[in-house]
Amino acid sequence: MGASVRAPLSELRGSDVDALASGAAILGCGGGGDVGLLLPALRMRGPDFAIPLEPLDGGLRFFTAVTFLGSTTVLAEKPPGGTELPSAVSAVERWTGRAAQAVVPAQIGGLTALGAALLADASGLPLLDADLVGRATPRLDQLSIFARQKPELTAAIITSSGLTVVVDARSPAELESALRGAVANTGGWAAFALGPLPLAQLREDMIAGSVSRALAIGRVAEAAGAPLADAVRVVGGAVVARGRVLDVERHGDPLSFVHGTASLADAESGAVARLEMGSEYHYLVVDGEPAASVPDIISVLDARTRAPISTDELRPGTDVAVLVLPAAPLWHSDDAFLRRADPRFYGIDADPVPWAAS
Amino acid sequence: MSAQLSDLLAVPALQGARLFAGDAHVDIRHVLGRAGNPRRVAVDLVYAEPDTLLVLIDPVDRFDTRFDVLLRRARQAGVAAVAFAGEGGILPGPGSAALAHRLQLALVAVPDPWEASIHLHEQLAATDAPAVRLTWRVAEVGLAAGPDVGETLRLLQDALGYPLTLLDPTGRTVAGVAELDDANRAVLATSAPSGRPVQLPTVASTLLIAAPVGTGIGARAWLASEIPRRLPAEADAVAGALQTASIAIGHRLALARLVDERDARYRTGLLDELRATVPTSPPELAQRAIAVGWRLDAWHVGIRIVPRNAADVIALRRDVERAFQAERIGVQIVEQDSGWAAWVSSVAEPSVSAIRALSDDVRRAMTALRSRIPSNVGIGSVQAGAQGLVRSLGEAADAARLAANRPETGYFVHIDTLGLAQLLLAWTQTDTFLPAARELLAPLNRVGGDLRHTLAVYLDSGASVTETAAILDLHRNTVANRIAQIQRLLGVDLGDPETRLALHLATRTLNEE
Repeated sequence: MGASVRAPLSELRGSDVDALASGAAILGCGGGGDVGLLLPALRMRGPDFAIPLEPLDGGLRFFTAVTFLGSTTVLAEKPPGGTELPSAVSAVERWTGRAAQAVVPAQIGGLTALGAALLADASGLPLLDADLVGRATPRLDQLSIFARQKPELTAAIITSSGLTVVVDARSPAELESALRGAVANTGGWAAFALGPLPLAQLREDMIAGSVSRALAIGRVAEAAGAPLADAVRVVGGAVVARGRVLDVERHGDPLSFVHGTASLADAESGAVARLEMGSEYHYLVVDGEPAASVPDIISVLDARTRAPISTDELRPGTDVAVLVLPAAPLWHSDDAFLRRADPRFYGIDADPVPWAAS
Repeated sequence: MSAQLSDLLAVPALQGARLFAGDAHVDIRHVLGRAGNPRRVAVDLVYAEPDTLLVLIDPVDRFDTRFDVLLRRARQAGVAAVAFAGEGGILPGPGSAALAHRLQLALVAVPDPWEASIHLHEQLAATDAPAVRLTWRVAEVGLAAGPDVGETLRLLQDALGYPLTLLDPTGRTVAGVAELDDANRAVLATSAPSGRPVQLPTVASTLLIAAPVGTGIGARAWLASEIPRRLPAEADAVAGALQTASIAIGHRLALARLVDERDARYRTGLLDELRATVPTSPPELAQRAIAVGWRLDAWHVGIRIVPRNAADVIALRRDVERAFQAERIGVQIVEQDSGWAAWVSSVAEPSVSAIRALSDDVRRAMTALRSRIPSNVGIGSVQAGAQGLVRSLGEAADAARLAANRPETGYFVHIDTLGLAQLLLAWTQTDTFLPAARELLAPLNRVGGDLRHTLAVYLDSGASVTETAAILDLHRNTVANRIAQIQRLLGVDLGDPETRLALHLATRTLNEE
């Protein structure tokens, strides 16, 4: 396969977009929005286009981090027009008077990865081979650059109804609550841009190689023929549980992180697994034994098609495979990072279960 | 001590509990109550005795991964079953049930975990507390209940928590649902003198506990309950409570007997007075008769039932009543020194066919009664008024005496037919008829066997195959075959009334020889 030993990429090509989408969907951990919404826009660019992919330790000075906020279901009903992210970047550039020299997806999981690529293509800026969570997370204040430092918090959103909001916040939590409130009241979703921020200052707190990793995972998942369990070992992951979904219970409170729980039984081994989930899959128990937890990546794939299944699509009767991939090492390197993404952050009273790839 | 989970869940105090998943036959030795959420319980639960039932005292708000982890930890610690609050709260989903199956752990939903843990503990710790509480409850109810036996039984049953059955001394069910098989009935009969409760295993894997009920009069009855077999503590508790209950029931039975005896004596006295005073009975006597429901100024047919063995006429009166009721015969029954005097009254003079129908009904009722009480039965003729009643009862008594020697009529004689028969017999005791009769029936004698007797009974019973079969205790097909055989042997048609008359006279004449 060789995906993991490939030399760092220097550009993202048209032929890479399907693998990027597939890897981003798996890294979405059941959330992050449907990559299928933006994939056609990237495919339309044809096989020959290329976006420069810059490593973190390049000489660039300022970058902007982009993502989409709000309801992914509304996003599916009112798809982006393509101008939202460029407009959001323009807004923060105007406000700060600084020009962004590179684009980074705030989260590699889900459709943001494709959004950032489209933005880079449209604006002619290079794409940083990095992101700020290495997966998908539900909140802005979970971004890695906020864990140990206090970067300047200038952000802009362009809501689906065309409204532009620029916020100068004093804390990540304030940023999160202010924008979340604005998005909820102005159309359901928004394109988000943060920065431009100094790369040299924040480089150490960013997750390097995220785009390459998404591509590698995507290639592995798409590789026909090889059993999924063998294929994912190449990228450090494993199929930890499989079987038919027995029940999916969604609790009534959508504001809490943990919205529901689902169980599945493996007809072959008899193992019974249970998932705890919110907008992503948070916690996995197999036969009553904790098997995986956030911040590691828990992704549920359709056993037949290998298509990732989002938490709100999971239904009883579906045959699934539960894939676990290690989180970006950053998360486990410092408690300042870990406490922003461990099970207790999501309201699950349990210790994190660090993933040790076999 | 250990008990099967299914048996524990059958204890009345735990009847709200139900098995949610897993094996009901798992053995339980210990009960462990734990408060706190599933994570707390799981963290604290390092070791439990083998075969422990873990009771989660606090309701589980979500059956999520924490509950799964708890099940796993509990199983590792030695727990065999987990009980949780199953009322008012949410219930585990199929996933939790599947995991319980996989871990071979039973899941039990209980209405009140705290109460359940106490009851379970008492069952398993073999303390006297449940027995004392049960006996106390039964004693309270037994004291407070009214004089009625049925009502007292019902209240005791509620207090006991198990269905309660009253059995007669032979183990036959008098009230309640439990029916004993022959083996257990025999055990009851032999253990009667001990006065101690007996425990009888049943085929349905339950234990039937029976306590003797003494009334001081007659043989002991039994009070019985069925409980799950493998709960010795519960068995002892129920046995103790049944003994207490049997005192209460014995008291009610004695009271009822007292009332029955007083009523019986009053009726017997009233009838004796009537017999002594007719036709000049004082009006006061007639009034008392009317007060007990006797219609003296009507047409009466007297019936006399005399048991062939010694019988408790007061206790058995109910059986006689039931026998008449089964045939829808409205009778007055009065206990006599031996047996019962009874009569049927009607305002209008009954027709001959009505009398015959009545006679047939009474005969059927008495055939049914005979299986319980072997007895001779006589019926008098139709007579009017108080004086007629006394006369008809007298005739019935005479007929009953005659019936004692008439097995071929089922020990049943109706005075109307008796009169005619005697008349006819007087006519046929002649030198000319006897040889003719012998010759007529000779073919039957040559074949031997019961053909002549069968013919006699058949003709006596009005040419009824069914009736003959009942009297001879044969299948009706057998009787029909015999009759056909008789017709062939004699070369006669029994459908012809004149043939029947001749044969009837012949059989009677030869029987009198």
